[in-house]
This record gives sequence, C-alpha cells and structure tokens, in this order.
Amino acid sequence: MRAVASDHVDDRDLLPVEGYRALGHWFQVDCDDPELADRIAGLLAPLRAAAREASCAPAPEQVRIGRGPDHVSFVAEHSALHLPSDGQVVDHLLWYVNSRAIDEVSSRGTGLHAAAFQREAVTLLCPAASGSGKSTLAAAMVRDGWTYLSDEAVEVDDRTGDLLPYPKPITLDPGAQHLFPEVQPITADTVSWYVDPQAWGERPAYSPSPPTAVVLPCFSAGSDLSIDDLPPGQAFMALAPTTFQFRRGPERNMRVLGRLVRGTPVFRLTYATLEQTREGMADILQGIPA
Amino acid sequence: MTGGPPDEVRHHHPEGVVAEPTGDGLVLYLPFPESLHLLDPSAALVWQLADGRSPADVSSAVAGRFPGTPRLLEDVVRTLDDMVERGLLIDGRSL
Repeated sequence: MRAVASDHVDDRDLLPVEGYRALGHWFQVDCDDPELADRIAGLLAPLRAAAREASCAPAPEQVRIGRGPDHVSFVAEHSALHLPSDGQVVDHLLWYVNSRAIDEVSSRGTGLHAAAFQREAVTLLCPAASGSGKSTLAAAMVRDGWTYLSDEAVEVDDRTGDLLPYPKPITLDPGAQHLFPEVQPITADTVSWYVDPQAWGERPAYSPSPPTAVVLPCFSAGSDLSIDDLPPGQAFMALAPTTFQFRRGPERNMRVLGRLVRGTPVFRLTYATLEQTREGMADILQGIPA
Repeated sequence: MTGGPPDEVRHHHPEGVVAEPTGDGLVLYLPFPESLHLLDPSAALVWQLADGRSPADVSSAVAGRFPGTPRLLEDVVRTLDDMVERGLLIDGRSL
C-alpha cells in the first residue's frame, strides 16, 4: 500500500453509487468501475435506506474509488491508498466506514459496541467487545427471523432510549463461516464474508424502540451454557467498557447507561457453541415480558 | 484513618465527578484518573452525605436512616477513609 494524490481519480469517469448513512456519518461513494460500483452498492444497501431518511444531513464525505492499471485507488478525507485488489478495497472501505461511524457517534452521542435485533415487540441489545461472537450471533438471529439492527454498533438515543441502528453487512470471520454455508459469497477475494442481512430473506422494518432486554454474550470455549441475571449496578459496570469513547461525554453516557440498567433486565450469557446461544436466548426470552 | 478527631475533618467530592444512581447503588465516574466505581446503597448514602460534612455529622445523618446500628461512627469513618484512598472523596485538610 502507498499513499496517492487525491486527484488520481478522474472526475469525468465517476459513476455516482449512492448516498449512505452510518450512525450519522453521511458519505457517498463514487467508483469509476461499474462492476466494483455494483458490488459496493450491494454491500452498502442497508445503509442507503438509512441515508434516505436523513433529512438535514451536512455535506457528505466523498469516498472515491478508481481503477488503475495494476491497483485500485481509495481516496477519502482521512485515507488515501493504492490497493492491489478489489477484495482489499472492499475490506478497507468497510473498515473505513466503520471507523468513521464510530467516531461520529462518539463525538455527539452514546454508542455501544453491540449487536442488536428486533422481533415483534422484543428488541434485544447485545453489547460485547470484539471477538465475543457478536457477528455470529447476529447471523444466527437474522437467520432465525429477527430484524437486524447491527453486528457492530448501535446508538442509544439520549432522549428516548431508542436504539438507532447501524445495519452494516454482517461480517463473518473464517471461524464462523462454516455455520452459514448458505450465504457464501460468489466472489471469494476477502478473508471475511460480508453478508447482506437480507440474504436470509426479507424481515419487517425496524420499529424504533428501547431495548426490551440486554444480553451480554460471553464466549468461553468448552463451557456449559449459563445465564446470569445481573443486578443494575453490576450491569452498568459491564456495559460501560462497551461504550465508545466514554470520556468524550461522561455526563451523557452515565445518564444513558443509568436509565438503561434501571429500566431493562440485563443478562450475561456464557456459551461455547452457537446452539447454546440459541438455547440461552430462548430461555431469556421466555422470562422477559414482551 | 484520615487522622484527627472525626468532627474536625471535612470531606468533599472531587472535581469533575459524575454520579449516577442504578437503583441498587450509585456509580461514580472520576475523570482523573479515569475510572468507574460502584457503591452499594449504604456506601452511596455516606458518599452523598459526605460533601462538606464532618464524619460525626455524616454518622448522625446515617443514624437517622438506620437507627440502632452499632458502632456506626466507626463504620462511617472507615468508609470515608476508604473513599479518600480510592479518590472518591477529598480530605478537606488536603485542600
């Protein structure tokens, strides 16, 4: 990889893809290669729907992707690279969008590192650090019929407590891919699979709501399934480390987490297998009021 | 122990502390060094009462909520000392 000048991409060749919104970060992607542009548009499609709902967004960040003779250039406000393959451009684009989204939300709101889902009157928030299996859980839940909010991050509305979704493609790392063979991508040039949640079929649109329950997924190899009902104070302490940049807004973050744990049951779900996760989720759902 | 007669010591909340009730206690956020602390209900009560009061006054106020508690002043002083050590309170003599 090496930096490139921002004027490398010729404006005359650009095909506008769409506008997108990721946790309030408003951006557009222009790509001069129709095939890659279509691929990107497909990956970002769930964010495009969110972008259309943004009524008064500031000027979007422009991301420009250009095909060169032996590379693909990626030029954005905070990143300019030459990348050797389409797959690496896709990897970098999704990483970049994610980092910008998280930076955006942590500068003005309360964002949690979390997966989230909704079905009928139940909205589940599942905060956890990277590597805890959020994306695997997300894929399993969506496959089981849940509406997808995110496998990575959500914002909690400071006024209403509603979850604000970030429906990025579900990122399945190699260790989890065998569990979901039905969504193997046609183009195999990325290490992770980036899965459109609609690959498992249409789901009802998300209806904004505070979470009905919070489930902290905790992968522990070889362990038995266990569910712990956390008292509010302990729940607060478990949730705080999943908050993006807590120090940027401690008063707001304390208020949001306080309200969350006072009004919402919080469980720790320890599991070793996907089947245990589903079993644990079913147990938790039986015990909470819909 | 913070030392000195309990009725001469005044504690204060540190600058920038943010407190949030959880329903079963109180969480404190300290900016320097950044940390979170979970207090159970009795410790939360002591911390809330301690801002500008002497240990004896805190103890009297706690006694009003929990009458008949043995060795209350001793417990309150120990709790206050622990909070000073953890940075949750400032010993007034150090200001």
